[in-house]
Amino acid sequence: MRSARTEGGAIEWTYPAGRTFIRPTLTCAHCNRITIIEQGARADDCGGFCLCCMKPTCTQCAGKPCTPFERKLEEYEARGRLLRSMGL
Amino acid sequence: MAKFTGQIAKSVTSTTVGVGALVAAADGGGNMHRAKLLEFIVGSDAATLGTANFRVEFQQCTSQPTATLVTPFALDPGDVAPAATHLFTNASANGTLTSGAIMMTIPMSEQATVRYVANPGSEIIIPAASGRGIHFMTPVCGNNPSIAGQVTFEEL
Repeated sequence: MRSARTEGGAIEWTYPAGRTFIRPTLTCAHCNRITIIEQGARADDCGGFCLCCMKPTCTQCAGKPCTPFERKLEEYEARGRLLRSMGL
Repeated sequence: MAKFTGQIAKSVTSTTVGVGALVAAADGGGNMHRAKLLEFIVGSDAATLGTANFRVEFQQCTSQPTATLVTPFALDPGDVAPAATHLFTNASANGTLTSGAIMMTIPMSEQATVRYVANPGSEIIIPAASGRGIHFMTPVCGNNPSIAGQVTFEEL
């Protein structure tokens, strides 16, 4: 697979006649969602860019306060540890 | 840091019940591990395929589905089985899905095969919390064709 322009990844569709379409993807630094970047899409349509953590975000997280996904992961895991320690 | 790959499949897709799931579970010592989705390949293996709409979505969940547990294949022969990450296939009932938490939407046709590859550092991450993970859903599946896919993940 060819490397994508963005750093998020790439998605490739292959159809029976051998036609293929490759689109780059963007991974939101705040919610971990994947956005497929359409050909010719404007930057604003693909999401935003967080000037706090200096990473791309999806359209839903664009313009919102910076909460890195890593922090959310730690919260999920802390809650899980608490529930486990309580035997729940 | 072991990488694994496993197959998910379902002979009759459903708009409400997913194909499978990748979820975190406690290992034998009660420890949890994060996992990263590295690669996802999906398509239909039906003999006759139409051109109906087909859509695959990754939806977050907080509990595992009622499904067949897959024994994934370790890409490094030195690794054994994942310690605390479960890959499920052929789901008959969903786990608890998080409403609106769609991590990725893959629009496709039944005749297409799709491959998604994440670049290092940009993968979907499964939290190290019991039952947390993603379901592979097919909310749009005209004619309910079969589906088959390959999931490659890394357990941290």
